[in-house]
Amino acid sequence: MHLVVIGLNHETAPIDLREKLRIPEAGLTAALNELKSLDESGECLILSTCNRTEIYACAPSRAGDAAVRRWLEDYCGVTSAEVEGHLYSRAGHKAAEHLFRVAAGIDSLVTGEAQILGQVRYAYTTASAGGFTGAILNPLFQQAIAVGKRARTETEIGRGAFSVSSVAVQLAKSIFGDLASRTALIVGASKMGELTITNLVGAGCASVLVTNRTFDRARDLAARFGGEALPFDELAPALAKADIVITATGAREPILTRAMVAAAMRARRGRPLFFVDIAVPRDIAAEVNSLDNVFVYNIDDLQQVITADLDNRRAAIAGVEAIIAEETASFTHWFRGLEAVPVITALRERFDDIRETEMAKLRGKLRHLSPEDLDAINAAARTIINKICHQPMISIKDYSSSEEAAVKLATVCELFGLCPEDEDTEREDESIEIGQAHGH
Amino acid sequence: MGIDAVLLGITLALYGIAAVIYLWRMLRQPAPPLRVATGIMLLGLASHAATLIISSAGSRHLPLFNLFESLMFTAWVLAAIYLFIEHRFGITALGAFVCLAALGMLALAVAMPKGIETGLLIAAEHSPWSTIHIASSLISYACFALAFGASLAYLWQQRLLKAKRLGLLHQHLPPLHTVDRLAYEMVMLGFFTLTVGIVTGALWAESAWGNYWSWDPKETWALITWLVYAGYLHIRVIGGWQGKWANRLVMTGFACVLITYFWVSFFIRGLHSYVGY
Repeated sequence: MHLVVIGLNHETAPIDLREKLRIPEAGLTAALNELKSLDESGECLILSTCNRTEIYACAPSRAGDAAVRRWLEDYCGVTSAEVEGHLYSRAGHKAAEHLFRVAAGIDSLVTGEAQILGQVRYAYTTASAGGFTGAILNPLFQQAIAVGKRARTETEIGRGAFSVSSVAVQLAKSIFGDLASRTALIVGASKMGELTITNLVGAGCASVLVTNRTFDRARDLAARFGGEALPFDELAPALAKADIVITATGAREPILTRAMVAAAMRARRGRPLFFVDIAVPRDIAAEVNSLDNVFVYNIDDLQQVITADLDNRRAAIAGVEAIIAEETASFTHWFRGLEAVPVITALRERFDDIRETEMAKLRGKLRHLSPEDLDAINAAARTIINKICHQPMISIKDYSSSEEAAVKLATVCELFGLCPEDEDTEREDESIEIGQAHGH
Repeated sequence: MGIDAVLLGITLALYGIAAVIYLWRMLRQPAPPLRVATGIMLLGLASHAATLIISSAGSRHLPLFNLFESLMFTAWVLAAIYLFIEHRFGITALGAFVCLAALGMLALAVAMPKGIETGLLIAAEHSPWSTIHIASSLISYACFALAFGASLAYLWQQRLLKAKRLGLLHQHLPPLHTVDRLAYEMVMLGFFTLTVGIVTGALWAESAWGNYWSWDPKETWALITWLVYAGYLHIRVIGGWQGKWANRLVMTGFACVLITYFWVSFFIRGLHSYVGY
């Protein structure tokens, strides 16, 4: 069996090419149908995200790889020259290893990000629901999803924050726990502020207040989150009501001074107040952080958290690699074991043919034997075959998962004059790069 | 060496191992999973309970009447309440604190001269209130210890957040709101049991010595403790105050508990002295 992955990712291809090769979710099943028609006996799966498009295919021989590549070019309307040097191709256990790296998040643009595992799962369920996957890709992808989970539970690879708004949510949770009964106040209608609010609302924050110098924009933004718009001069009293305050105005000077926040804190009676200042220049005076129960994080602070978390995740890569090596070894053992199957079948058939022929001769020569006697002889012949085959079958299985499997299996075939159906006995472990693309 | 001594040794070892795993989980990754720490602590609690049962079967009274017994009992209540909180609310950050506190109390208990007949047991025979008085007071100490742990976690976490040091410790300490609430609830429970302890103590004193209150040092310090926590509950419930200062007050209250329980018991001679009177 020949297993291959052909595709490109953020490391090998620029964004405009990745966009051209993006296969949208809506067209996935149709694309799989076309792909399957290239080789009805094969299996196929498409993993397409904004950072990668990869085709996983499984066919009796490597002869179909070129067709898969041509299909991808035709389907996406690009020429061979355009993708030359950007596509990579990996075969056999290297393909499995690649998939495990992808699922574990260490092949991602942002190390350890979690979305990719969901995307792998989605690609797999779509392909398996349409019957495009089978005896090889089903276990492979189930294992890949398990590897992704293992990496995230056994190592720190998935920990920490990935963006400014997710740091804000994470910090809000470490102050308030559950955000359901909390109020977020956004000061200034900016894109970044909106993103942060979206994340907070997604994390359960139910109540949103918006204020802006131009009231109309506050009203528009508030409407989007089912929140309440406040006139800008009600900012100070609003501090007593809100728990999380996001400031993102274009003001030259700080709009919140220590005195304003101190007054709000007296009204809040020690209830913590969390400020996320994503404005540059800052909206909140530096002295505000010195007030008790007030926590001020500006854009630099948030950025530092992201950097520290990324460093932590990068430090976890070694642990993830160990998991991947282990899982790849177990996959390889199983996958190579598959190659023993045709040899063993051929060997058994060979011996059974001999037995049938000899039994036919015996029936002709020894007419005095009763059917019971013939049955007994036949049974004895079967037993002999079983006993002779026992050790060779174990050895063949061992050969198939050993390093020199191809040579050893060929020797077995030669020794018994077997001619396995699959002529293509060449091992396909090497990763074949199309062009010079790539390098991990 | 009797079976109780063996069990006590096992209990100490189990609490010690559990403490190490809880601490490990907070400071270093990768660490053993939580269920290992919880499981070992639960085994410790079981063997601790067995020690208490065997000891009271031997002495034919509840394990409350000398410092050894009271430390054993309080440590058990502390560990039991913690495990309940961990199971019910998923708060695991106090595991190391509670295991170490229980371990310390048991070690102190072992160091106590055994078999001292304190005046308490003799006086106890005169009143049904004695058992409730002592048990309730000791349970309140355990609750206050947990409240102290929660407030310590609060102040620590708020300090880390303020300093923007968001490492592993920050991630393993609970959210401020969670520990603030836990401290409050533990103080409520402790305040209730301490009140019961003081009232039944007065009733016992009346039946044993003929007067409700005699300004014995322990009585005085128990009253001070009660007033500090009453003050906390007042500003918290009536005034709605929380945060840094409220949690500092909880810690102050616990300092009073320590004085009431240890300092008065060891160094002051009076009606409540465990060192004989």
